[in-house]
Amino acid sequence: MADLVTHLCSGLLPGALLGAPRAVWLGLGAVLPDIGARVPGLALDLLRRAGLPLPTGLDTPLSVLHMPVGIVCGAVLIGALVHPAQRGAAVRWLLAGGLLHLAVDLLQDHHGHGYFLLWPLSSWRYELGWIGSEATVFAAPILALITALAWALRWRLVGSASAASPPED
Amino acid sequence: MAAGVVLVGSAVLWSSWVAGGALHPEAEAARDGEALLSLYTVDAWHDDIATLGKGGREVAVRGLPTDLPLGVELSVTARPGQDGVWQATWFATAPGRPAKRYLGLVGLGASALLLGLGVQRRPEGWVFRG
Repeated sequence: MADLVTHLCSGLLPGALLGAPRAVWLGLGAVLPDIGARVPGLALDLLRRAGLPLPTGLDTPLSVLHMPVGIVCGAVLIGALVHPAQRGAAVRWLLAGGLLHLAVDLLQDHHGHGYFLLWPLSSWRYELGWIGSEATVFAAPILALITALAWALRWRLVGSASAASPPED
Repeated sequence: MAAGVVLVGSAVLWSSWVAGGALHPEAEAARDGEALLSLYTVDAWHDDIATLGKGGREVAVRGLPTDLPLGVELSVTARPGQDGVWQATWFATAPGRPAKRYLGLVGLGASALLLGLGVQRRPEGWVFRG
């Protein structure tokens, strides 16, 4: 999987064309699959290494949040927390961000062990394998800089007051 | 509600499938002839056999360079041996992992900041500024 900075920038960089709040939903959508599915497992692993006798598999159910079914359901469930006036757009852009996340991860090579795209309908897994699994580590700082410059350019061109997006589409 | 049911149902099915051993190295090797041990850590060495650990699971593997230090993360493809020790057919260390963890923390912090700055809580629901 790619790092969180890369994923966040993959949403915020195109988001510079969209403005807030769509850019925020796209950016959050692009990081939620890893935050939901991977971060708890990493935290549990750290606690085990610190000596806590935690059973294995506690984070197993969360893996579905990194699959299309979890991304779709997650976007809908998070949308339920959003104000009704923004809910539809929030769900659409969170979903777009989540699918963008998957697209970035699919680029990577995990030696043939790809991602479960059709669960629970199938256990088929797939990856494109075009880049190494750590390739984004080197690109992340550059991507972050480009994203910051894009937003700085947006603020300069559009102005802070009107940098917000028009009412929800 | 439907989304919640689908999500929980998918998670339950996934957990059952995984608990049944579908992703265990032994099951993978039975299907494909070899298994990928992804991002395991070298926990110990006994002569030329490395004990690799991840998430509470340990696997004994032969065929790795004996100068791999303890604590190094690596991915290995291996075939199961008759004596319970796996034979490595390929391996790769993950030199970018520490940087990836650091980027993960930075990304997590930036995401929290984005959410904190971008959201107002109102009784009717969260309102995203824009």
